[in-house]
Amino acid sequence: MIGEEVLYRTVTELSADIKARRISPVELTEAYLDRIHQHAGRYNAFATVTPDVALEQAREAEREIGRGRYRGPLHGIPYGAKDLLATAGIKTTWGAAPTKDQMFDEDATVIRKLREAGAVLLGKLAMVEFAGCLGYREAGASLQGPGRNPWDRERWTGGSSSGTGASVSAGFVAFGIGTETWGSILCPSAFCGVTGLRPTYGRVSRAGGMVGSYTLDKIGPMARSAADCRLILRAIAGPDPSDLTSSDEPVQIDRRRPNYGRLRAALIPSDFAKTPGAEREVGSRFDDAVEDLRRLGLKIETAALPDLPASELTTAILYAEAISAFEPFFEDGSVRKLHDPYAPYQRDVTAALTGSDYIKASRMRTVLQERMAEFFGTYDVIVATNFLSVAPSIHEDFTKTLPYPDPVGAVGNGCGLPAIALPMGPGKDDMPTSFQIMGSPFDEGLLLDLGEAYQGATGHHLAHPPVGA
Amino acid sequence: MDPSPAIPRRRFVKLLAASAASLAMTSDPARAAAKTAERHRAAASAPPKSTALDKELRTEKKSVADMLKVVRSYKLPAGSPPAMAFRPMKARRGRTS
Repeated sequence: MIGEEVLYRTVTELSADIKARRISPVELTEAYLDRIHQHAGRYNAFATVTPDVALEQAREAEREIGRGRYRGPLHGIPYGAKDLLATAGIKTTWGAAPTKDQMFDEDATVIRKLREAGAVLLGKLAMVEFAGCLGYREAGASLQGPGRNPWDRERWTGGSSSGTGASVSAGFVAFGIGTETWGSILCPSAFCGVTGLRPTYGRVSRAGGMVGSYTLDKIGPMARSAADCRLILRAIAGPDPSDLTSSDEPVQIDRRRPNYGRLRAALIPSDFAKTPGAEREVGSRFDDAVEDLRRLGLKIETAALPDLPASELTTAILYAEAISAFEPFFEDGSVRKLHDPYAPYQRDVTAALTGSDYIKASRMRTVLQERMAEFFGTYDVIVATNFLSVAPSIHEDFTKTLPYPDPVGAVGNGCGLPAIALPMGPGKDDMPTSFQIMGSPFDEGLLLDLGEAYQGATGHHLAHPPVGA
Repeated sequence: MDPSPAIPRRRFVKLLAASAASLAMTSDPARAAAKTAERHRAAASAPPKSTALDKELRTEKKSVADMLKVVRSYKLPAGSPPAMAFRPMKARRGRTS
């Protein structure tokens, strides 16, 4: 009998037990499926549960491991994937009514790679409709219903990887795959108290994934620890001939135990006193996190990001690309089936944005990338807040509950930089809080090293919600 | 070919899945005209905007205009490089000369 505490173990722990045959992949999968069956519906966490696929994959893993053919640390580990990654023979809804019955013939590259690593697909995870790329302001903007936070069902999970955040947090999966165009991994990681890694643009193939924005979309792991994110990234990273934007930069993410005293971090401060919606409890936790990093030896000094309008240029690029990507739904009128009442008018709202504006914003982005390359000549990483408040109510308009800007996210997503979201302890009403460490391109290994060191020193990532209580 | 709008969308979805950036559309003039008429019908059947919605959309348009003002007024350095590289086609293989 597998108890709840096992389902909350990290991938690192589970894989050691599976390899040593102390835990059966089939029994582990059955235990997760039972938990999903009992509780997941209360959180709108899944788009589709795939028990038959999961049990078949788990039995195969058990057979292989029994024969001594151990594929690696994800072998026999149950996971869930955001429902914008194509899965052959399983619906891929993109979280949206116009595509609620959509089927694909082939798996997305990430799904294929995880299958080849021996991971077990428990199901497709709920998400904000069209990953929020046409805008949204309510938790209910999802085919699967509002993402309910396992720490408090009346609060939002964050989005757009809402089901991934909820499922990792609630122990429905051992890890999940999320995606980020702008904030969609870091936000639910923050609100649900999980560890999320947004890889460098091009690090992970996007073939078979829904396109929200051609030059902003990234795919990455959400899990219970930085160490787990490393294992998952290793399995899914690398070049892919099916994705012309995937990079052939070597995947160098092995643990290095760097001399932290030789690293310089830029602290991008947030003004918690003057920023509308910012909560002082989050500010206090962030101060604690910075001190914890200093205790590890990291040299941290206050710095400013390059003086370019990153939010405006990234927004212009996102609008232009999203309107193009979802053009068929505007053309046939099915965009009106979306839950968000404003999304159907988004093409009209952004009609003033011209082709030359898009080109200009893209050229500005090149300048921003050059400035960030110079910035990373001085600093190894950036330490910054993630969200300035804890998860808001599912009943309120996000323009009111989350009114603050995201300057670090604008630079990070605009330039395609990697970042890791790390839980940093409880905030208001004991809800999770989170900060981020952002790195230079393809320096995920350093972010993971720092994340592991921070988590080893604090243990905030081990907290989990009282699901089912 | 099936003239229903579902076919081009399915094609589009497949192209998205392959990370391609273009949408194959029919060039049949009659079908194109039918699609245009269908679009007009869809636009005509759009739900009427409430006052609150109308107000919010005006706010959003103002926000887009403000964003564009910033982008358009930003001075790029002379000789600023293009953001994207248009790649040449591959050479034809198997030529004898």
